[in-house]
Amino acid sequence: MRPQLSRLQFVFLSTWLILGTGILTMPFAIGQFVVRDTWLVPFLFPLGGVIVTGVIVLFRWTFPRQSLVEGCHTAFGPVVGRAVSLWWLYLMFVTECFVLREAAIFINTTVLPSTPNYMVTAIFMIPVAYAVYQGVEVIGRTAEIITPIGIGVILILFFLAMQHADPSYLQPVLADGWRPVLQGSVMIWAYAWEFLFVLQLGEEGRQLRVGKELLVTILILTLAGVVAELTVTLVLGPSLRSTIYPLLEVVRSIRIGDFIERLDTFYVMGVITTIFLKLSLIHYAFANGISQWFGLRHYRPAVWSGGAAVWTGSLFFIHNNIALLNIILYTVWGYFTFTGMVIPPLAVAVQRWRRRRSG
Amino acid sequence: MVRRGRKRREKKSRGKQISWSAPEVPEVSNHLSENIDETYSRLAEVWGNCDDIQFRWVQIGRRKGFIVWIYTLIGKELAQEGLLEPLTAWEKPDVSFDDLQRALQTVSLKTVNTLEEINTAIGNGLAVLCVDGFDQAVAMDVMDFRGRPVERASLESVVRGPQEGFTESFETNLGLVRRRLKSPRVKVEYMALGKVSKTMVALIYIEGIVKPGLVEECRERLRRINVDSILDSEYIEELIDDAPLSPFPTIEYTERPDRLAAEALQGRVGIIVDGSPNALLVPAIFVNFLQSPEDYFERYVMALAVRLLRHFFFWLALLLPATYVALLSYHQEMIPTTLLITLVATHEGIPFPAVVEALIMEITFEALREAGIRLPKAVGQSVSIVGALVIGEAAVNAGIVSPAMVIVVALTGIASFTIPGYNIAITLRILRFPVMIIAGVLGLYGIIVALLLLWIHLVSLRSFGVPYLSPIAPLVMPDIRDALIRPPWWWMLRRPKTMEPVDSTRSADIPRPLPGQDDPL
Repeated sequence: MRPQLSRLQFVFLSTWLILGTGILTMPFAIGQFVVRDTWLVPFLFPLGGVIVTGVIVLFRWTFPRQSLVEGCHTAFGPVVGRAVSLWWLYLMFVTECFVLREAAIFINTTVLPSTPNYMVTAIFMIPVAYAVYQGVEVIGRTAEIITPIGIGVILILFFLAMQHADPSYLQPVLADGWRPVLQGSVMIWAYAWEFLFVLQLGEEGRQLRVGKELLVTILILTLAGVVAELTVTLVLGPSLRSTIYPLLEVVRSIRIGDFIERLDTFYVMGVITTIFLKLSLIHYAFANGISQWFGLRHYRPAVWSGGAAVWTGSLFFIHNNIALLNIILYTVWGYFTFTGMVIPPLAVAVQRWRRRRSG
Repeated sequence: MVRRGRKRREKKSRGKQISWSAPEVPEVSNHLSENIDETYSRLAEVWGNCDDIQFRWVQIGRRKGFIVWIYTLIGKELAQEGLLEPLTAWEKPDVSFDDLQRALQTVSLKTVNTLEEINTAIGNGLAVLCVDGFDQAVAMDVMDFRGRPVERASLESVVRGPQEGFTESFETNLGLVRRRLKSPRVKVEYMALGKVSKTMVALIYIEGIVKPGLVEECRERLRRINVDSILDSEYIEELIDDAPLSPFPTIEYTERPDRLAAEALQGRVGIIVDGSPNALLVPAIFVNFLQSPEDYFERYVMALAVRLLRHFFFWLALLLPATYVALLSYHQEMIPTTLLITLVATHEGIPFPAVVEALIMEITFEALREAGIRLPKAVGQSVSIVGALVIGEAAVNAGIVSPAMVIVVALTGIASFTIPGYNIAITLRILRFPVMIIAGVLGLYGIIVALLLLWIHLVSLRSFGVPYLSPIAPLVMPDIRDALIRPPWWWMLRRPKTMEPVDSTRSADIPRPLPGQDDPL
């Protein structure tokens, strides 16, 4: 029997699946469209989240205990199924490369400016591959350690940052109308599509009620988003638009007396651990998908080799921070939405049609 | 060439002289013969060249027999009064086996049927009486081996609470546990391990509390042990360990009988080994190593604070030197300006980078600590204290290390001394070095990567099927309170779920003390 994820572990992991890098890039992405009303944007996140959850639940109803790769092979047959699932595998691979590079750029920008990027990414992949090699249960348990610490640190930092809050930055509310808010919402719906990676957890999520768990996660993410966006807007105000890492700037502003200052390094370290969780889950899904695609008996042969491929891809696909931000702003939304709206629903439709035809 | 071949053959033949897989007594001749001379000759052959073995011939009526024992183990008076006197006073012309058993005046007596059983009994310090015409013998406990008396536990010392510690005597240790757990539900299972040492090992558990599968797993792992000797409980620890390659211990040991009793009541299994003053406790989870018996002998408010402090110091002992190195080498912006100026000033003129400085100091500190343990107690303490003071002072004066580094290393040492589990403290000592090195190379990022690797390793460990980091990960909510803090007794109504006890109720109903409650009398 394959190891199982508990409901708590699943909620933690799916939270960090979005928030792992979302905590870095979401405020920036939202800030490109809206400044004063940023805190309204997360309220619209559930709309995208529920659609993605619907797709996931639909797939799991049709293909119980099967991953997306297995589901594609069942629905489309071994040849066409492999072609379709290759698209999905490639999406996972590219996403993992982006996330790894995003983490490395963040680390280089904030704490290790002189260390080569390839070194940072290579070292990051070691714990990721080790965790994936140990299994999804281990990733889930690591999430159980990191999440309370991460939430505690982030809440303390946000609380400390409130000393610089200026409520006037929020006013006037909706002065530019709903249009910028909706534009920002469209951006964060792209993040919701990252939930799709849980489709690769077939057997591992047997005891889960995925739909319910994902709805809980959406609620958590919405609240976290509102708190984060409020803090960012209250502290940074109009300068939000010109910062790449708004939350980092918020934490940088913390000063207590002459002694406590520059707490941003703690924030960076906290973010690294949450990105680690996100990357581990995606890498598990990727290694699992690879093994199913090739018909391997176990996913472990794909872990370290897949890790090396991701490391290479992270250096090959993205050349600098600007390229990364452009991909987040202009490519991710379409790529994810297309994949999410086409592959799983198509597999479901074909499978249902085949079932009906066979009586 | 010829010489080399001969040497190889000699080596091979030497190896064949003793075959550990062969039984001491061949299966075909294992049963006792009714002919006393044949039994004697076979025993004398097996125990040949053993000058401490004694055969004492006796006449019981018209039958002759002999008593065999290892005379360094038996009590002369016990043997005289319980064994020899009843036999020499025998007046009837014949004797039956039942008469013989009734006549002997010893506390413990059992029948043995094979030569192998006789050998085991002799090895365990029993006297064996073989009489002509019977195909069985009588083994009597006349052992009087005086070992170390019961003394204060030295490794797990407490201010308040029981002070007794285990000794090397198997019987004494079992007695110490039985004195605390008197119920017949407390089960003790013996087994002899080690082909040469034939060490007695006892499995102690409480039926109705412990998970039956756990006891079976312990039995099975002990049965699988196939070595020549077990000279200490550590041998068993290594042979039944879940993760022998991990630096973290997954089996706990204790030298306190009260600790063993308390843990058995939580649903754990104790293993007592003859000749070892340390009993093993399984399963062992991470938080067990940060708990001291005294936590339960002090008022809970005090114990709660101390336990939290211990958790904090565990991580401090692991990360403090590495964090100092990382801050000084990579993240100077994090240090407040005034403190940074002081640190930089003290570091000026030091020829080494911070990481090398830390390594020098840590290695010296560890060497002093090791020297302090190995030397006789009176000298050892002075060596470690004087060594630390003199070397620290001299190293600072010589400009080899900075004073701040000495403070950091000293603080780390103090923090590591707060860890109650000696074996996990050793693990900390080992792990501190790679964490320091990675901090010297990658700063705080390196520390985070090391921590992630450590956490992944910890959550992947299991001890007899129990996740090592439970109840933290996986989260077992009811057990958390007795893991990180020490709740009051009236709050601990159930045994830890982590150990999956059969009967999870510790106390059916403890009235919670109410402030200002009137005295009913």
